[in-house]
Amino acid sequence: MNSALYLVTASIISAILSSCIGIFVLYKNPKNIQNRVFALFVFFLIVDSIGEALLGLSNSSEEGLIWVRLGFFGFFFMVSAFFHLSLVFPRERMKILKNKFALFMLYLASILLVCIFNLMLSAEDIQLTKWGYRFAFGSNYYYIVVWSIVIAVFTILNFIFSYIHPKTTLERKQIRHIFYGTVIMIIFITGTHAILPIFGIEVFPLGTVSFSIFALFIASAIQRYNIFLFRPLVEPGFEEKKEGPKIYELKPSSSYIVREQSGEQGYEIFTDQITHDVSGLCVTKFPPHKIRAKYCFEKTPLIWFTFKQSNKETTIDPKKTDVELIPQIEDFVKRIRQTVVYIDCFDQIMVVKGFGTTLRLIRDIRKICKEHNSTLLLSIDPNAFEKRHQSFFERDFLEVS
Amino acid sequence: MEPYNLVIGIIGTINFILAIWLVYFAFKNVIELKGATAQNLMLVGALFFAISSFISVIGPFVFDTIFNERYTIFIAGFILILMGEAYSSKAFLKVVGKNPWLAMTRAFSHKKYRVGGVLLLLFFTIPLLTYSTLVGQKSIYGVATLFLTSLSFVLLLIGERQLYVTANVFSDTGTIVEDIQELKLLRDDIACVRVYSDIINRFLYFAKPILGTKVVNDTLIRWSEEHPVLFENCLTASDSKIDTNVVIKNLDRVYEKGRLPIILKEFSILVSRFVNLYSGATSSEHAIGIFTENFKVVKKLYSESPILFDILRTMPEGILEEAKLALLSREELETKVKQRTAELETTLDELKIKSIELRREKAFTENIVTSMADTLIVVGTDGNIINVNKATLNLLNYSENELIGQPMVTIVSLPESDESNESVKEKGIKEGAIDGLTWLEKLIKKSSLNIEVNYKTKYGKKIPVNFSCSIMRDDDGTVQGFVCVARDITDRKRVENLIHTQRDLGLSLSATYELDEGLHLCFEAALKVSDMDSGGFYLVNDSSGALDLVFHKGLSPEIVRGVSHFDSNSYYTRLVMRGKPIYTKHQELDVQFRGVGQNEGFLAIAIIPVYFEDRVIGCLSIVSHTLNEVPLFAQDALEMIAAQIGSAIARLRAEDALRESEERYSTIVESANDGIIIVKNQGIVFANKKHFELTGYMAEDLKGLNLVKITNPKHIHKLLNRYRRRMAGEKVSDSLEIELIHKDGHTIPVELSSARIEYQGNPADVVFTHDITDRKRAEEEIKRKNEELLKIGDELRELNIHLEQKVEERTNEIEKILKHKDEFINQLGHDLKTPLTPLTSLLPIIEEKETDEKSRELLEICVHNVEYIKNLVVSTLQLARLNSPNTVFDLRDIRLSDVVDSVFCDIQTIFEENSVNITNKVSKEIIVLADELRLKEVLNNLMTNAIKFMESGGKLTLDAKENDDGFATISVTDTGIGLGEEEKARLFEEFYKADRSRHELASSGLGLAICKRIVERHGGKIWAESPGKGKGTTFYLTLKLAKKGCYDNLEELIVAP
Repeated sequence: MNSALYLVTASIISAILSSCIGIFVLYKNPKNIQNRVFALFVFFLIVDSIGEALLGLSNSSEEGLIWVRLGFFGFFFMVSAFFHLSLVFPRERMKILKNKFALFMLYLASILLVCIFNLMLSAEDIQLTKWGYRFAFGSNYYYIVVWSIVIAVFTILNFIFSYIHPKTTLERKQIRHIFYGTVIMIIFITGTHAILPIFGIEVFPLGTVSFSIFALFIASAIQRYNIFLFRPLVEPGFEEKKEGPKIYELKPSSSYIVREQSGEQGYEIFTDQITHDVSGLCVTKFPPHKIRAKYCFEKTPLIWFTFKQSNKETTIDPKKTDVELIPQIEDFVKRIRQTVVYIDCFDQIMVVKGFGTTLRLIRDIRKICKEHNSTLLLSIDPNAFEKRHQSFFERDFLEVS
Repeated sequence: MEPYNLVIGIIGTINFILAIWLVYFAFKNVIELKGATAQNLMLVGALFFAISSFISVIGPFVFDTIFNERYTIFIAGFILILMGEAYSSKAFLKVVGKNPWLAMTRAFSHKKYRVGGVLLLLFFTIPLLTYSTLVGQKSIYGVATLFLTSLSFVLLLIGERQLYVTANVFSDTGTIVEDIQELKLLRDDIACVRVYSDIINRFLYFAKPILGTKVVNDTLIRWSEEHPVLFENCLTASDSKIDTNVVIKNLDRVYEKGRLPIILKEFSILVSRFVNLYSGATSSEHAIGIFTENFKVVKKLYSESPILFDILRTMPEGILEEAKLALLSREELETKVKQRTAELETTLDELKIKSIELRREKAFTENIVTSMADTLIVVGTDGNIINVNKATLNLLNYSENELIGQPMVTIVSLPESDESNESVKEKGIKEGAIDGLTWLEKLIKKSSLNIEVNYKTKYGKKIPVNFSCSIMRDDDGTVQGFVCVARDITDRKRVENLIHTQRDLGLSLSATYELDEGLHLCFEAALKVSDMDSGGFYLVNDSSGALDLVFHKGLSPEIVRGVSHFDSNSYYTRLVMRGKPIYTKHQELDVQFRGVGQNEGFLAIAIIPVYFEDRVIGCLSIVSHTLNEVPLFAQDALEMIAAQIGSAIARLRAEDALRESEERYSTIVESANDGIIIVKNQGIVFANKKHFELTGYMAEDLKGLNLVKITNPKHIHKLLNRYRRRMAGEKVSDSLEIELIHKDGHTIPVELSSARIEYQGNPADVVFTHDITDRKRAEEEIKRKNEELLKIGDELRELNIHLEQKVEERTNEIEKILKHKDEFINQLGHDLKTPLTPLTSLLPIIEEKETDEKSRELLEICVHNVEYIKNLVVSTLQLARLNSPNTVFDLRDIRLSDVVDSVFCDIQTIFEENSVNITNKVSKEIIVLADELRLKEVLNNLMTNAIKFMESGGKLTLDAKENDDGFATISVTDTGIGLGEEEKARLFEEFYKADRSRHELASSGLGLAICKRIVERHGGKIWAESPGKGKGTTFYLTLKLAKKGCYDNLEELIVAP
């Protein structure tokens, strides 16, 4: 097989893989800003890959010139989109992004570079190599390398910052995957496409291969840590207000535990809260229809901790509790000012995920609730936890008696 | 043998051995996994490998050649192995469809060796093998192929071995499975589930008849809902049992790394729940007994399973405790023994520590007894003292030897007269008079004694003590003696004495109203509490500041004379006024008194200032003939008494003042000009003299009488209404006019006012009644006069109306006349001017045409006369118009200098003709309110007049200034002939000509009259001043200045162009 075909094949595989993931991500939650930016990034990545593939198949430098233009169009915008992604993933960190002008400025550099590049580019810059027609980096094009490296450094710094200051443990894991993929991709692209050719060393251009690797990392992160998969499962609602004052005065931003075997006191406290102008979310191991019937919940959303599949009820897979529960709770508490989150299934989460993961999960949920002025209420069976485990709760939670 | 063949043969031999081994494990797996298709394929594949390897061996060693056919068999084996792998990874393939990344990761991690082997074959061995076959030469490729094959075999072998081990473990459960994932489940987990489920199911079998199937089922359902991870759907449909297979299947959900402890924990809670349930229905012992019996059966069944140990270990507390011990291993027993030994050693150490602590406590107690402030006496059963502490010896002045062995009664005596005697009696102690042991014996019947007695010192002094005594018994309860503890309460007694004295003093003072008597009481109290014998009490004279002795006791007349008065600047007064108590010896103080009291034998002296409201009002001066110095307790007591004296004096003084005030008040009330009564509970309780006079009632008549009774019935409603409104808190008028009924029946008009007061501790109303008989009479008179005035007023109004009508008529008539006058003047002016017009225009023409000199002179005379008449007519008409009220002036804000300039400009020619120098000094800033044309006329007139009376080369000056009264004064000064006094007076008269010789014929003599009229119509005035004949004249006129705002606007308008 012709050497050029290897490159073409790698580019096509990269384009196909990336498009699959991009479409998948956009399909999963088209309204999410992260998904949108990622899809945008993937789109430019595909454009770049296609440009690369068609450049390899070109018969003349003139024809190659067209595909180089296409490829670099994709590349320039891909870099900006990727930097954009680093600002919004795993959560929006900069208020500036809400300003459309700021966003425009973010992409303005790409637009300018595309214009400058196209003005300067000529057929002489396209040379036939053993990998087919390739773009030859001359001294006129150093700015592309410099710009790419600068943006890459900032992108990596953003990811490092997110990694050092994550909101939850899950975010750290998500960033780690993307970070590895990013570093490999940047090293491959800058190394084999720019830096080595500048020094006259010709190597197989691994840019499109690195795209595939990056796609695999993203796929792995999607699979393991649910990145880009968040979709709100529940809608907040208010129960009809009961007359008389609250029996249990729980403070917002505080966390409480109820030690009991039956779980009934926990529900009593939770019901007391949600019937006094507080919106509640209940994560339960009991069948929701029974809970609704017993405690007369009409509008309060329930998430069922079960291995069963149910079309009627909102369920959460116990195996994926650590990656699915936190985003759901965060989405809920963010939407309403005064909320209470009741969870009665931590003993069972511990059975599935072990105590370490469960504790991290509890702490993350506590942190989120505290941040969004929500009250966290846990019902735990003291028999289900070792005493040493219970001491962790005592430290962070107030006890309701 | 060729070396190449030899190498191939050796490697082939190794391969063959490996292949046989592979077959062995593959076979074992087939046996263990009982019919797993994947393993069958694997076995056949391994056999093919073995055959292929065998051919590799026999070729070189038997036939000294290499059979390439072996590759065909090898490839067949490889295909079978590959199929086996693929088949065995059915789950993997299944999972790939829905969860590719997860499946890939897991599959690789669990079968990495076998998959590694297959991949090695696939990617390296087969291509090499193909190549070496194609080349057909004895090359390195063949060797490499065989070498890699060996490597592949090794990997496969390890994979199969691992599979065998897992399968072997799994086979213990007796479950046949095809899903490779299930092999992950460890034997112990499954065994644990089986054993625990069996135990619970057996227990439930016995519990069901007692608890009822429904309760058991409900509990299990509830349990499966509470613990869905492991127990979801665990209830068997047929009978109330746990479905073991379901729980085993659910094991895969449990956290892999800590699965066994989790399973044990979950089952342990379940056991606890059922045993508690059963205990509730029967009893705890019964429930545990049943459970234990069932456990024993299960234990026999699974006797070899090591999981029993873990199960027992994690059983809930109180269940199978004996079995837990029995199943303890030797090591654990040893550990238990060690723990117990350690506990005993710890206990022993604690005992030792306690022994040391006890010794310390004993020494500590002894120290306490020795060093305690209270006396402690131990009395034996014979009533003699057997032990005393140091405080006892110090208090009683005995030595230890003197006291020990003495009867207790020698140091105890009861107070002579005290309430405690009674309590002692009650306790039966006094009986027997403390002699012998009567009181102590009686005490034996009681638990303890606590009374106040006196201790006698060695020297007979009695010391009051709080005495408590308790019985000392040994362990058998036999009385060993008595422990008597006493506390010296001398100070307390003193304090009590002081309190009693203060209380008595307070009571006495409260019943006293005389200052002297109060002071006497205070002084006696001071002597009593201080144990001192004489002294006096001084009061500060408010006016002079001197100290006067107001009371004394125990002092000789000589001393009293010497100390009865101290001036304000005397040493003693200054000492007292410093405000600090002085306790000293009399001799030290007496030096300052020049020997006063020197021979009286005074020893200690106390001078305590007495305060009231931070001011020294006197002093207490106490001396003693017996004490050398004032004791401390006496000092405190005296200061407290002094404080009480201060308050008492203040109270007594206040009461004096109150009495005086009351007297004053009484005098005022009695001498008041108004009647004053106090009404309480609707009855009059007090009335002053004036009220008696007013109503004719005496005090005895009025007492308790309701005010209504002496009120005119017509006014009762008014009175009561006001009273009710006032009581309801509404605002009422300050006074009320009513009529009271005199005792003899006539009415008295009074003005009544009232106020709420407190009278003798109760609310009451004070009512003031002011006799208004005279005022009423005066009001009647005024009323009558008013009516008369009203009549006169009506008549005047009628006259006014009549007069107004007349005035209006007259006014109308005058207006009519004036109108006729105006019309007449206009008509007259018109009629006079009409014939003159042709004369003035034609006569000059005729004069020009006339050649005859004489005729011309005559015509000239005619022209002048016609001009004169014309001027006269015009001026007269003008004056008449100015006099008419119908002539309206167009008053505007005008800049004066502009008007002057304009006039100058108009008559410039005349100035030039007469060579008159003109000076305009009028400021541009002066703005006047005037009719511009009229003002021009005035100025024109004045200036032309001035020119007339000036010689050629004269000087004319115009000036103006703003006055403070809102007017501007304009002056026109000339250097003309000047004016005499008469001329000045008549200058503005009509037709007056000052110097007729200078007037031409045309002058009418109305110019200045017109000026005057115009200026007056402007609200100003005009006059002329002259220093005298030949010294020039100045005409002055005043005009109103324009308002400031207008001025500004005008300024803008003027500046703008």
